[in-house]
Amino acid sequence: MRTKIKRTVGERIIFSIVFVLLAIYALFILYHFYFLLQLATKTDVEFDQALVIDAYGTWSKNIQFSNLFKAFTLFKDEYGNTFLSMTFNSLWFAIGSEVIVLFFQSAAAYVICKYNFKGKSFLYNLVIVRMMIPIVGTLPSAYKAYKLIGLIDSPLILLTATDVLGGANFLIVYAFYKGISWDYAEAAFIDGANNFQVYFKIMFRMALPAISVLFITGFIGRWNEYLNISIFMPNLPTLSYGLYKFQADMLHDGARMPIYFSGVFLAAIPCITLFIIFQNSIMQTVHFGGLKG
Amino acid sequence: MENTKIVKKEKNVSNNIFIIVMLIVPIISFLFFYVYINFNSILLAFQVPLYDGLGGFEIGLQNFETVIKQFTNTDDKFFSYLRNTLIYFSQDTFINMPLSLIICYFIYKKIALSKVLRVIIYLPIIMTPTIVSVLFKFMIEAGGPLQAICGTNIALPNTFIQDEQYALKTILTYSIYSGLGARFVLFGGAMNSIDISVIEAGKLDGVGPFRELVSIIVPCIWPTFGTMLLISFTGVFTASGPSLLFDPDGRFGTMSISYWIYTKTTGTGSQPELASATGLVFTLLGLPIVFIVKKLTKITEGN
Repeated sequence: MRTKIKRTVGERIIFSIVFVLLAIYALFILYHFYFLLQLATKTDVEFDQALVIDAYGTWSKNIQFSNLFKAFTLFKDEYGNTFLSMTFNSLWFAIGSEVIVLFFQSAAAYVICKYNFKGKSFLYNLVIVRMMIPIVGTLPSAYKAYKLIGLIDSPLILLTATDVLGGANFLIVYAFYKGISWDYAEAAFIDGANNFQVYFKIMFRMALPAISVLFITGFIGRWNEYLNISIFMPNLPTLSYGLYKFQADMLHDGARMPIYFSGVFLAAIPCITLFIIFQNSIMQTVHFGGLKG
Repeated sequence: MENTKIVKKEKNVSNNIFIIVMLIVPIISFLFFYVYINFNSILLAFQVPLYDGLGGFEIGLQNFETVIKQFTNTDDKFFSYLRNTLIYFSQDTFINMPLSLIICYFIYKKIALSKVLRVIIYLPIIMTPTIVSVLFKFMIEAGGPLQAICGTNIALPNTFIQDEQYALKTILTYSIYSGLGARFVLFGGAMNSIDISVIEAGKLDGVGPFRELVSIIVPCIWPTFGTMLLISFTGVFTASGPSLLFDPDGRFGTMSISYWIYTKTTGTGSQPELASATGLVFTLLGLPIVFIVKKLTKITEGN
């Protein structure tokens, strides 16, 4: 049985000071949500006047929770994309990309980690070297190439997610497979399983905790993506890019800003919910195994 | 004997088929989305548009001459893009990363309300930057809570972000505030995988929090820490604050190299050839930096 070692007085003082600082920081973050709700439930007139009387951060006298529902119909861009269609774009883009990435990334990492074949080291080193080459400015070339094969403003943009031989996530999946004993596979081979059965029925399932975490963090990243969307999917805006466009067009136009903030409030809900549900797995599952080379 | 050979051969064939099936899509994808695009980017850098209405171009080094002229002239605005890029990089690598490590350490050591704090501090990372940034703007500008706190006697600039004196500082403040949780997942995961007996042995030797972090935790999570440091350095010339969200036209002195390349990719005033040449120059400049960092961090498997 482990004995719990008590903190010394000095340590307690340090921990208390750090706690106070972190608590202030956390309260400031939480205030954002409070502030967001204040903005989202104002009337249009109140929002207009708030700039003059420093009242953005006060509650409306006539709280408009109906703004949250109006966001579904009144939140539109100039091409007629509504809040719901942007949400739909966000969903297929985030889920589709991550499913494709993790399917192929897991397959590639597993084979490179567990099988001996010509080119194994080359592929592993390729991942490392690729990560270390600080490539700047391929956006124009990527735009031309995507346009050439019809990926711009098309769901086919998901094809880009198959480019998985690189990046930190590859190393995380690789490290996870490395930690799984090959004995399980050997036992299955003796029982007559083939390579595909061993991978899909044993190894992939064992790697699922790590892969699920990567899916959630990847989903959040894709859901929040706006810069690449503005270049490659300008007419299929996701919620994140739609919110940016909306605020860029309408900022300080009091007439519609409460609706915008209602949309903002609704858009934040999916990622926060996902994180709160899976926070323990997210925080404890993922780490690099180290780099070789 | 013959049978064993046949079985072995069959197994080899089946293994090879499996390996090919599993790798074929990633390899084809790599060849197109990485090799082709990068190769094309290099070609693009040498193309000088003729602006003849037919999309014609000639091959030459003019783009590189322009890049070098622009970035070596300290009076030129491009020099300020380079300066801003390095400021954004330094803020992320030398402020956010250590702060994130320290916060993660205290959460790992189960400071009071550690689980609650962990969730809240990670919230700005989960939320769309377009949301967090606009809330931040409203909070600090005239009419917002900051003005309400300061009262009417202290006149805040109408918007901090539309004032060259404050714009960059505002973006840096925002980036620190919103980015502290960015490395929580990897630092947290790495710290949680440390053998608890190592920490306890240090405690029995009377090690304090600072020494525990520097002499025990950091060496134990070095593969993760070093890799993240290396990844950070690969972005030395691509570092960019959220310029699109705060200063989309770059009018208030916040433009970075990568954001400038972004603005030159499509639309009116696009110069993809010059953007590619700029990218190529900075890729070449970044290479030795990354290799030096790799050498210094000694990131090898297992250490």
